[in-house]
Amino acid sequence: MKKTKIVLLLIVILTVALTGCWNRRELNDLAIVVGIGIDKKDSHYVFTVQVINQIAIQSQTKVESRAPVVTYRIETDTIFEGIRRLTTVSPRKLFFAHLRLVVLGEVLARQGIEEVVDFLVRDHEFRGDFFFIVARETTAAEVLEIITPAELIPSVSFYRTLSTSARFWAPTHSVQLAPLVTDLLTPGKNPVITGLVVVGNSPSKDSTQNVQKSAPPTQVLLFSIGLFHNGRLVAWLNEGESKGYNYIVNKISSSVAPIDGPDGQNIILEISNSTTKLRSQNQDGRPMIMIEVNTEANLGEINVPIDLKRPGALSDLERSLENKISSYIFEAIAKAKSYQTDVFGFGGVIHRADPQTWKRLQPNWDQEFVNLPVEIVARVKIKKSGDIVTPLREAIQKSKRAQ
Amino acid sequence: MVKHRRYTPPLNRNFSIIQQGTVQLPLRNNLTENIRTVQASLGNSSDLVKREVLIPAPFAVKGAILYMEGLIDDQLLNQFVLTSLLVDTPQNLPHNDGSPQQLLESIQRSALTIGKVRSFTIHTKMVRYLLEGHAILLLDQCPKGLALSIASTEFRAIEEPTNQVTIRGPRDSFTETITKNTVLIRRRLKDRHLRLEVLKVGHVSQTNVGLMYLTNIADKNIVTEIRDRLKAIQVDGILESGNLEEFLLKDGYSPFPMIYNTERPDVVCANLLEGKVAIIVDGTPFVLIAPAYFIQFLQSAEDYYEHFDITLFLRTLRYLSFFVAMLGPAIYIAITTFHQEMLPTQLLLSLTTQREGIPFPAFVEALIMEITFEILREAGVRMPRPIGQAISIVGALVIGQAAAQAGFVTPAMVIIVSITALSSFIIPAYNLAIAIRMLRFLMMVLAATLGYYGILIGLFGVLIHLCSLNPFGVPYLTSFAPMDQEAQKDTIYRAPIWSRSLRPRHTAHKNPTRQ
Repeated sequence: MKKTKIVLLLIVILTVALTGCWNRRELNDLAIVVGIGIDKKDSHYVFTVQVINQIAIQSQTKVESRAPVVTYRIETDTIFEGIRRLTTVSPRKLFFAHLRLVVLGEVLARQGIEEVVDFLVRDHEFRGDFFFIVARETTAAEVLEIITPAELIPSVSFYRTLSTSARFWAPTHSVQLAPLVTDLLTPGKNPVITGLVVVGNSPSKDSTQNVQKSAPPTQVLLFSIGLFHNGRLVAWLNEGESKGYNYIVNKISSSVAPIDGPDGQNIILEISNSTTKLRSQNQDGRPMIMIEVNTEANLGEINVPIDLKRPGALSDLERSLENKISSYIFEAIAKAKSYQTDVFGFGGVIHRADPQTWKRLQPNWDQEFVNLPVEIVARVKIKKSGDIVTPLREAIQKSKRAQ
Repeated sequence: MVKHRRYTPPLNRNFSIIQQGTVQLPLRNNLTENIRTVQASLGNSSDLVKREVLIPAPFAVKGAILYMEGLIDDQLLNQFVLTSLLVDTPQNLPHNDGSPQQLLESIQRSALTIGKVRSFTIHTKMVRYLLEGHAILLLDQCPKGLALSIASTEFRAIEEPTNQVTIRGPRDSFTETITKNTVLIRRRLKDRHLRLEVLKVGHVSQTNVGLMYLTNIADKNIVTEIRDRLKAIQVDGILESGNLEEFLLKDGYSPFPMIYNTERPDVVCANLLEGKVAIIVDGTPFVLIAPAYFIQFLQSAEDYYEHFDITLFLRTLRYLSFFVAMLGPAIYIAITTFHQEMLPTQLLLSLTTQREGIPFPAFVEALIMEITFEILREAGVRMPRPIGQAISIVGALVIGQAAAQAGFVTPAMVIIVSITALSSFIIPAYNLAIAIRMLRFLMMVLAATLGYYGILIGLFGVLIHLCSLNPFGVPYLTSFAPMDQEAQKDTIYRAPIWSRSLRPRHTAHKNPTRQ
């Protein structure tokens, strides 16, 4: 009895000491890092961190003249070394748990991102819910130095832009740490990262002057999707191809699609819901990918005088949207094939459906991907015509004719 | 760890100081001598009134009425004692020419028109009766006296409860008089099984302590144990039921209350119906109920008077605020000093900018605010009423604005402390609220040293402690641990009254069905 008690007591005491590492830090001892930029310059890295400047955003003693964030830049051989070396410039310990954004310079992206990702996955302080982004035709440091309007903290601004546009506008794709690593590791899938461009290059972009105008002279726009192959950026998709990519990976939740009406004028449909199923089929011993897209759309804007009351008018529109979606998808696949990178995960689909065939194809998958036949089936259903049925232009013409 | 042994009461020592100080003198025949002895034993106290009487002819016996001034009702004395003796006696009593002793007996039987009359033959008893508010009738040449119960009933009237307020429900509350209090209970439970046992506790105060229970429902062992413990109490005075409570629970320490107290007769009756025992102490309006469970302290009388779904909402709120009151500042300290990654980024930004320039660590900040609040609360309770307003103004200014504006504390901390304070006021039982308030400081220290991990250690400690409590043989966490499916009908939610056909298992197993 006594022995059991001693053992129990020991277990309790020992478990108290058996916790992971933790540390007591007051909030005002932290330098909250919201953005990291990593560039490659010659053989070493340029490491930029965007840190929140608490004094500048304090609501009571708001110091208007200070920028809301501070960026520290350091040249270093390895990233971890760079982080520690930053203590020589930053008065507070860098705190990475609230990182929102990792910006990769295009140069670095084209040379390979494995080293960077290794560090981000390995270090325990990163939470993994930040987005990756590639600074197209510029450096990450440059992007992080821009002061943005609307959102006080630039990295938060980019983060929210990316998550909003991925939800309401199809050609962007938000990538977080875990999916990125999975895509890098999975044979038969390559990652993509959305790109970002800087528009306008005013000398005051890194000061609060940039946001004192209603139209900031320097702005940052999300661009389209960059294709990676073996951890290296190989190509950029254009807008349509980016949409095609998102259709294939079933990441469309809401978007807008223009289809050509007569006279080259546009009819705009709002995609309200879209699901995609990928299937692998065996055709004469060779696998074939079936892409089945089911889309629901609403009428958004009609600039063409068409008679929507005519039976079949809507189904005509449905057919043209189906064609449009198919062509997006087709173009995306064509682009990926030309760079021999399977960013859609077709390899994974075949692996799951037919492991035997996959074993045969895997060693030479890049080549096999190029020759992989793909069949696209798009089904569109137009659900709502909006608040009016007859296009306004048509209605006006009719009423004039009646006079 | 609290263990309640069942113990046998020590032998009843001859504990009364009065008994020890005065000799067990029998009454003498001589009236004057008797009166002198009484006066001597009370030290010629000036509030002892002596009224000499002469029972008229044909008896023509000298006598005296003694009483303590103010303890008896003068009107009753005049109307039913003096009138009967001096005016009516001669006509009504038989002229048997007997001894004064026989006269006394016939007075007791046929003359006095009051209810409770007791006779005595020794001085100690007489003094006791005097002090309890009886009038004493002595006759010359008679070694016996009569104690006439005409105690003054001039006490506080029955008023509305002040501490356990309800919107709907009876508006009467107990007073300081035990007889009135037992009446309030009897009127509600008109059953022959309702028992009242009155014990005297305290060898100086001689406080009447009433033990009430329903003999057909209450567990006999619990009743016996409580009775034994009451009998075993050796103390000079019991002035409030709180004094008794500590004696009843002296075998173990816990910050959590294990005896419920209430000033509402309806609550006592509800508990009696569940087989519990009420302990009514003369001189205080707070009646004890034992054994009490943890959940009882989070229940209010109104839970049973309002619609049952409202009760679910209110009780959920109370359980929530129980945890907020205990853990509010601790969680804030833990998150802001250890687990910053758990906050949403925007919230972190808002908190971190507030903390810019605050000179103290979060823990010290919380401690300052909590102590300030406790000072204010205590000042508010203890202060003479007319100054009350000043405190609320100073409090609101000091805590609410000045501290935050001066940069000593963050506005967020002010919010946290206020919510915590409000939560602790939601808990219906004041003694549980105090217990939680003390635990709150412990939790804050744990949170400041170990973060969430420390809070968890603290919570486990509290939970283990609660599970180990076993007052009067009933598990304190009853209906959670041990889990009781039937009792869940009156735990976090209250099922409609018609669906609750069973009484609580632990106290009322003798007679388990209500309907």
